[in-house]
Amino acid sequence: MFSASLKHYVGYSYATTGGDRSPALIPEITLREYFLPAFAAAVKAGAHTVMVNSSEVNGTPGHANSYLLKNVLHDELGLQGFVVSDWMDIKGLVSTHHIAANEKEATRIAVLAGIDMSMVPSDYSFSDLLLELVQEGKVPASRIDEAVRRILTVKYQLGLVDDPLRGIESKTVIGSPESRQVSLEAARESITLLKNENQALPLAKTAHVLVTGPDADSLIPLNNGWSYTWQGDRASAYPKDHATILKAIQEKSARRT
Amino acid sequence: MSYVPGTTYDKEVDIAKAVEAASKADAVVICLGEWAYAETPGNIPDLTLPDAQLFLALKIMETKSL
Repeated sequence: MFSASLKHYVGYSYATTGGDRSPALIPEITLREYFLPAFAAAVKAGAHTVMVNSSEVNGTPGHANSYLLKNVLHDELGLQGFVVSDWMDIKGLVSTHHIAANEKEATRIAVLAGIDMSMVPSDYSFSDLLLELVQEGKVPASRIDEAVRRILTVKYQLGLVDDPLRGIESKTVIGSPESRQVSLEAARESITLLKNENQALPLAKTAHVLVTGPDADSLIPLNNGWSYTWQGDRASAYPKDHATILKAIQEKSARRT
Repeated sequence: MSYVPGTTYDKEVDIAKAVEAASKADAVVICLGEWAYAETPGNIPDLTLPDAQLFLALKIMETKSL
């Protein structure tokens, strides 16, 4: 048993500015005709969780849009599981979207809009602020019960209550010879040869080859973002035994001058 | 084989040295590209490579009859 998380609900894909997290203007008919069907199909197929669009649709941040999270996602599409924020996006209602004066206000807005789980791995302010909000009567305890029930239901369905480390044995697959072989094949099949005039390739092992350019002796461009680190730009994060383009050509070259 | 960096991502290091080495080589592998990024930090308004990299490629191409 495993769980799928649909992301990012909804309109994140509509990058009209060409940039990441573009604000989107989507008329209702377009939303229903083009953007919702994929989510509807996935919910129907049994997806348990949905992650929310960090940006905004029609001027309302995804994490504050109770119409899309409650009326559409739960009531219409029939999501049985829970809604999770994207990375620190409740705080983003203050720092990016400026619709809340502080994190406590942002927490109230997001939880009442339908966010069941906050993704922040580095502090516990969400729990502390939410507890205060409930004690002050600003968020009904029934809303907490609803979110907790959704989260625990998914955990029960996945068998995580009986065995919290369920599936841990699959970690042996990571970095295994079989996995490495799949990676190698994927890399080879990803290479695009645009032209090969005068049979320039393959290079003869005896040819005197000059290797040059900023990407020649670095693992950064061979791995890039969302690999060993988020941005992929920290050289020290990469395995020391992996070959750069330069090193690989050196190993193949017969004339090591 | 030989190796000359030529440029960093956006600044010249030793283009003249790379061009000289290219003129003596049978083949040149020029490794150009963008700096690594993901998501919003990768929002860039222009796909053109930095001038230093384009200059490196152009000067090396001048040494080879295509």
